[in-house]
Amino acid sequence: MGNSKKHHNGDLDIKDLIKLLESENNQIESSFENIEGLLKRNEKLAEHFLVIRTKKGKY
Amino acid sequence: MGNCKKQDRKRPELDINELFKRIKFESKQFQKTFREIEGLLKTSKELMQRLLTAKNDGLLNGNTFFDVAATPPAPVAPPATPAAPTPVTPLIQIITKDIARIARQIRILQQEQLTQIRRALISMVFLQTATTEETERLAIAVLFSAVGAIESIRSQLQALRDELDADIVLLLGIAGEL
Repeated sequence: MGNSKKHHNGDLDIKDLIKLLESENNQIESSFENIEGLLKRNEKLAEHFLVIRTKKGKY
Repeated sequence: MGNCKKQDRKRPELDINELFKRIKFESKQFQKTFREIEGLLKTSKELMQRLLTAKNDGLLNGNTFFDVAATPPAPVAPPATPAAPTPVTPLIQIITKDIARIARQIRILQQEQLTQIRRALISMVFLQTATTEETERLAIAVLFSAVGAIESIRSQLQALRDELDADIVLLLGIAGEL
């Protein structure tokens, strides 16, 4: 979007790339935080089904 | 040819606009896949909760079933499975185990994605300050390898999303029968 008109020379565009990647990095970090709870919850619930097995089973 | 110092267009092997587009595209795909995975994880969480409640209420015929799943080699006491057990619980175990695997892999890919983005970032910082052609070439190689890895991680994440989706369809089928 927007600022791709800075064509002077490689350097400015590299700065744009750096900015893009920095914002990517932040975005991914925050979406990871959001999803971590859900991942844990899913793993715990899944474990529940297996824990029952080990209790009632022969292990 | 040769060593004429035509430096007006620096780094001819690096098409920044192209790279910008690729990263932007990956970013969009990644966010989209991530939102979808988030939605699927919510659904699978709810489904597992429902199934667990059903199990606790004895609706899944769990106890006998878990014994069957264990299949002990002991010939003395074959697992007591008197009435026809609903073939539900072992199936749920397989599916939920798979969901747990997917969750683990998602976490690994997330970390990997961050690593590669930082790798790309570092290579660009190097590129910016590179004083020799050698350093430039090296930085560009790292940059492309990182972007390639980012693309590969995104497609792996999409595959995990599809696998999660398939697991949920199965769980939905089971939950629908309760």
